[in-house]
Amino acid sequence: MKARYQNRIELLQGTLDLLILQTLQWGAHHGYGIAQAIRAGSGEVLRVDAGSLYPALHRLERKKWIKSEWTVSDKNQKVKAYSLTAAGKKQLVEERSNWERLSAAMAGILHPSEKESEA
Amino acid sequence: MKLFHWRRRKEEELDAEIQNYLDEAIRDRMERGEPAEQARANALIEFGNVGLVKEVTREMWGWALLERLGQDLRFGLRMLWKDKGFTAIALLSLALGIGANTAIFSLVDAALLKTLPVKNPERLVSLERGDVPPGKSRDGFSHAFFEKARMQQELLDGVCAFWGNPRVNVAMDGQAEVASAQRVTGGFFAVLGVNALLGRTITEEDDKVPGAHPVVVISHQYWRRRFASDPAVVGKSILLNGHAFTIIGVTPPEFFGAIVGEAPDFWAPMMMTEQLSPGTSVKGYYRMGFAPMLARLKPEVSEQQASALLTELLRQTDLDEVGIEIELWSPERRQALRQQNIALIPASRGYAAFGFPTVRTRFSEALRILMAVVGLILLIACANIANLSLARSTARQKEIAVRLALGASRFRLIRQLLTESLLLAASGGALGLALAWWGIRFLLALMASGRTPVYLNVTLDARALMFTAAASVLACILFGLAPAWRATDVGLTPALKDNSRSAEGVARLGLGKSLVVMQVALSLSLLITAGLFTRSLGKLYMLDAGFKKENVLQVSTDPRMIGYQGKQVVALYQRLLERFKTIPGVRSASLGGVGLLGGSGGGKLIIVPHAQGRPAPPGEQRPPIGTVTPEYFETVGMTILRGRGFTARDFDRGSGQKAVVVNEAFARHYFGEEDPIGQRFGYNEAGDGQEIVGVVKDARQSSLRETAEPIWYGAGFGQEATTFQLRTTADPTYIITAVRQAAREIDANLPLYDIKTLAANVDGSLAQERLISALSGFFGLLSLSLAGIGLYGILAYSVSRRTREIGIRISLGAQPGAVLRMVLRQGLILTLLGVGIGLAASLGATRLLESQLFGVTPTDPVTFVGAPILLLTVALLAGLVPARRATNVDPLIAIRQE
Repeated sequence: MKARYQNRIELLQGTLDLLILQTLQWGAHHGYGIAQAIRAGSGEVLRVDAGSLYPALHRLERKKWIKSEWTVSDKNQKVKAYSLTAAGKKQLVEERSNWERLSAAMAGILHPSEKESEA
Repeated sequence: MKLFHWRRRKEEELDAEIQNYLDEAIRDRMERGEPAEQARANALIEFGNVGLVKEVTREMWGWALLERLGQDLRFGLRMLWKDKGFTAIALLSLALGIGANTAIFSLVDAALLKTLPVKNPERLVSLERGDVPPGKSRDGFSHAFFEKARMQQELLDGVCAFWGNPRVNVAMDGQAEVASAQRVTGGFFAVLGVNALLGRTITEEDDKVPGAHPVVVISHQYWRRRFASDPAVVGKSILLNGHAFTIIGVTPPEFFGAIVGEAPDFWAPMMMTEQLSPGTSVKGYYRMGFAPMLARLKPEVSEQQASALLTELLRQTDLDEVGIEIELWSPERRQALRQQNIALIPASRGYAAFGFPTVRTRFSEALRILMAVVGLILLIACANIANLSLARSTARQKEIAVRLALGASRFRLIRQLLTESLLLAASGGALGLALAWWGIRFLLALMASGRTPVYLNVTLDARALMFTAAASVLACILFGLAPAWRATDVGLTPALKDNSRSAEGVARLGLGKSLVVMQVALSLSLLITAGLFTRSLGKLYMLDAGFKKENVLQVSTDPRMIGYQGKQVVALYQRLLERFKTIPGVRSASLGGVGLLGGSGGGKLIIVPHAQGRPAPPGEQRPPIGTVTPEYFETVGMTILRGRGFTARDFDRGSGQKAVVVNEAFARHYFGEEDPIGQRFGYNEAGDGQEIVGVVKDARQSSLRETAEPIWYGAGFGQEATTFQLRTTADPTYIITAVRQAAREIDANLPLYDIKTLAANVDGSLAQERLISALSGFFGLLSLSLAGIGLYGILAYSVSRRTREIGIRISLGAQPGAVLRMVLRQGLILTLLGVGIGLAASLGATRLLESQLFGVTPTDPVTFVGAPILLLTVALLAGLVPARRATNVDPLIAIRQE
């Protein structure tokens, strides 16, 4: 069991929301699809377990950033598909810029020399 | 319901969603080549705890709080139900505590706090003389002044006067009864801003010419009682004292007039004074000047502005009235007239003036004391429940430890325990409300049984409900928080091992002990309070009132109400007296008199020429006169100390001196040590006309608390309202029917009222004392039993904790007696500590009760010794049960137990 977690990175508080919003940017997805997309997109590094995914989805839905709809999947199954709302799109832009500032700041602290050379 | 459906749908959707996730995960795995069984197992493992996922997801719906509260409530109910004994005691003590507080609060609210149910009561003011120190008798205001004040429309929105609730004889559909009618000036209802529920109210137009406006407004209560809420009552005619009056309106249900505690049945124009109160006139009434006056200030006018204006008006009116005569006055008197002024007293809570006795002045002290007493009771009840909860939480220690170990947060557990407390407090509050409803009725009945009945509009309204809710929540916090905090402060390992001698246990016992000490101390204070009041009441009952209250029936009447005048009244009284004497069981009968706790009324100015060196200031020489028939002293049981009582001869009004009898106080006041028999006094300058023939023992006049003032008695029947006294051989209430029958034979229309025994009259005069003493006694005993329960609880708990220790002691040879003593000693130490604190606190606090006590000091030794003895006895009894249990510990079982 333990080995499974070794290659994974714990998601920072709030980053899951960003990942979900980002994933939904290109169209509606159901829960499993979102989890798989994040996993594949991160090269198997980020794994979202169901215990985080569903609370996050329901929380985002309550904040009206995403909406859900029951549709029929390509595998001909009835699934609950989530998609971005207008407010969600705005939120995505904002969170993305937040994240970029954060990662730039982190990078500046972790690699001071690079920063100096840039300057 | 809608919410429920919504939730069901969400729940089903979530299930479908999760199932869908799992299905896809399994299919993916199978597509990658895993066998079906393994794919399914791995998918489930990867997914994790389905229940937990659902749980955390559900929390996102914004319901979690409500849902958990529901869980807590269900669980709390289960726990309370499991421990029925605890729940019953807790509920009972809470219900009593909260109920008592709510009931007394409602009373305090109605009597002291609530504003009048009228328009903008904060603009109402009472007019009062500001130049007379409080307590001194004061003149009223002249009619001329009233008329002028009424015209001041710049600063005032009206001035009105009202007076008295004289009894009137009401005849309607051939049935007569006595009711009360308040006389009001035309502006009364307009100034108060009260509109009629039906019809209209009295206006200025109804108050112009004496005797010319036979209209009345009836109270809502009278309308309901006498007219069965007949909507067609307006326009009906009723006979008041034989005069036809037209009912013009009904007041709203909450309206009771301008004085809290009164409840007139009628309001009639002041100009109808002569018809309503035979023997008086509108003019005479203003000359007497008793009328309470109320004014309504205009919105932007300050009290100072208004009182300045009215003061100026008062001085000017009086100067005008005196006119040229003022030249004859002494400079002091002139000065006094020019310096008189008017003070305005806020009347938002009803008419109030210095020295004007209202419910507020009579009952406020008692109500304040009772409020404190019931507050203490609630505190004791809370301490008791906290104590029991502590013991209970110890029993639940293992349960709590398991829940903590399984990952429940401490906060979550405290919330669970507090939910239980809240459940208790809420149900206790609900029960308390029911008790309060009943208690208010009981209290009002007690207050209405007084000599001057008190009518309060007390209802369990929104304010009372708020108060109850606040009291319940406060109680919940008081008794719930500390035990909950303590209970969850558990060292996991020892608790799980069930080591009942853990350090926490000892600390918990410490908190419990201090709670018991506090309970004992509070309970002792209440017992002492109760003891002081009960002893005061006892002293008042044992007091030699100067008359013998047993077996005397009093009957009042006023034949002037049905048209009798002057000599006719005397003749009627003579016939009635003779007739009453023939009723079987009547030993003697008389009429007239003064005092006998009925108030002493007014007197006339007398001049006593041979008074010994005591020229009393004018105004003071107006001792009340009692006009009595010969057998009066014998009938009411007053002792003639010197000389003689009246004989039939004294009634022959020949020329010469009239025989009078004086009381001891009169004799002492005017003649000191000298023999008063044969002394003369009178109304004229010569000071003769009355000759003292006897001295009668002092009797209490207006209250048992006050000593007698000078009174003198003359022989006669009087021509006014009177009271008959009938001394009987047995219970006087048996002859009431015969008395009514006898009166009917002589005049069927004669109104009889206030038919009650002299003993009941004495009781009535002690209404407030009985109220305090009964309630403080009840609460004292209640607190005693609560303290007993608390003590029992803590000792039983401590014995169960020390079972092993006691077992070892017994196996080492301790005698049962020694074990018994050991446990009892523990209880006794706690009790003594509490008694010490309670005594110290009471010694300081009972001084506050002094004004309500009679014949006992605030540090009455009997009470201060008796109450602790009572408490110690109860403590001993409470300790005996657990102590006996300790002696029965079987050492083998006890030692093996752990």
